[in-house]
Amino acid sequence: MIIVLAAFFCLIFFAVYGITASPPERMPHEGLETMRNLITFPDAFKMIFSTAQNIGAILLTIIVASSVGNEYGWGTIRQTLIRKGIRYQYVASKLVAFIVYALIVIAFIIGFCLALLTTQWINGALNWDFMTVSYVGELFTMYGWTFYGLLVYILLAILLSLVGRSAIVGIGGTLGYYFVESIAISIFNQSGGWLAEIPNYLIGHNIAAILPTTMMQGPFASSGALPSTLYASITLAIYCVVFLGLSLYLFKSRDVTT
Amino acid sequence: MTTNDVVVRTEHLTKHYGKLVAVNDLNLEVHRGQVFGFLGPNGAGKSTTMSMMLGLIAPTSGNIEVFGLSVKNNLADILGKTGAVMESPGFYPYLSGWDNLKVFASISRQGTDDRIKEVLKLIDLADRAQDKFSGYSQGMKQRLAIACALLHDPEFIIFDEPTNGLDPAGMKEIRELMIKLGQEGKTIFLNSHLLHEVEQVCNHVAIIKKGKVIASGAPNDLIKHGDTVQIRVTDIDKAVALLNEEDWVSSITREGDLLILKAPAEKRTDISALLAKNGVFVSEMKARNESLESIFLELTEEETVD
Repeated sequence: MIIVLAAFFCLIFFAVYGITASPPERMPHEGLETMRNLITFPDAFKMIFSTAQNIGAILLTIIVASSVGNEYGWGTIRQTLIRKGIRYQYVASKLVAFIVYALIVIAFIIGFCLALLTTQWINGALNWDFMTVSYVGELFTMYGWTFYGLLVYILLAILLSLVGRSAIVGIGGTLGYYFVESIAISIFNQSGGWLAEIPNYLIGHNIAAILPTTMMQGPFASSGALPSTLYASITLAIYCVVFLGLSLYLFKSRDVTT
Repeated sequence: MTTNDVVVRTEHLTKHYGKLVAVNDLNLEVHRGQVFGFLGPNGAGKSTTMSMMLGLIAPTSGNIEVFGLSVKNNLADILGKTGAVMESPGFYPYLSGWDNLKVFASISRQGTDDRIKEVLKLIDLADRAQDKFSGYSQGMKQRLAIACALLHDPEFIIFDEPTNGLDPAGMKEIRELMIKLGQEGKTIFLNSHLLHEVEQVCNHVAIIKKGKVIASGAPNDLIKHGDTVQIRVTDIDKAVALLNEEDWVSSITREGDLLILKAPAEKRTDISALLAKNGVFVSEMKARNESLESIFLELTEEETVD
């Protein structure tokens, strides 16, 4: 699955690079510059985090749900639990692995290397002048919010895989929610009245609210008024606690059968 | 037998799945060094009981202790001294046998590379250790499961149908391994539907039916307990009527002109005396050799008729 995500990164970067290297004749200069900026530092960071947030959420859902659900399918869950009976450690170790996997390996290293490569191709040399203290701070903010947004979906995928004891339930349930919610938010936002308040309690709308405006928000871009960052952070934290708490409770209290 | 000698003790152990009673008020003791055979027809509650010993399934009521510790509160300590070969062994299909053992050794932090080599050699899988698990035959998968169970050199080992999928030579090796482990002082709990296997390997047997133990003891004692005698008499109908009156005759069946009786061995002289006193003469009386299988079938079928 990491290869699939790496392939997505490559596809996006090289497609944009291909266009900037030999742009169509009628392409306006401003558009060309914007595209160039997308794959060169410093703006390439936005592309990295945005791709990690959007495509990453989908692929991570598949990775997380497969990793948890397949343990049931292969029977390794029983083999693990008869060697180590402490069930919460199992869920915790999976969660830590997914976070490390999602952030460090995928979002940062692959994206960073590709951006480095394309920057050098286009500019001929790498200029680090943009890397000021304030910019580094902004990068860490983007990194943190990207992590936070992905964490909610990771926890939802873990919960649904445990509920269904299957990868299919985890993948289908999480992705189903992911896509249906974005449609529902648009409908609610257009409806007005109390219906327009509902998105304030939904995951995607709150993720859109925490992502810095400097980041490209993709499917998380919400047409309605976004709640404050503080409100969104707390709402998402509640989702995280509920998903994790339910996962631990279910995994600890339910029988593990063949 | 002291408390320390008891490795597994269940008291009124019960498990319900909705209205289905899988295990019903089960009282069981497995003693240190025993090779304990756990027998029962499909759906009798054997695997549920084993899963409860390993903390995979929570009992509805009752207690279960392993090494004198409650499974509910001391599972990690119990599993540190317990190995289990579950039916349908589960391993990562994309990893080799060796890597799978490394993964499970690291999970429990028990089992060095040398120990992995040792157990792979013991179950004759060393040559294929680097092959992927997905390419293993059923027998090889079963062997890997046994290797995994032995990794941390447990004191108590649970085997759930361990010879499933093995060829006759493989079955023999695994049975010999279980006997050897028993001789080394390990406590073995064997669930098998192969009754002759249990008869060969186990020195204690419990037969379970509908979640309850219906017979228990050394295999020889169980076979003796079901003393069966066949007799040929001058008037078979009269003999049946007379013997039916006696409470020490537990069953009478006809096989042609033979009567098959179940009665204690010490009552054999009473049979001929009773019949002769009433004018029925015995021309032939012979003890029938029984196997654990016949006892098992008899006990479980009797329950069904009830």
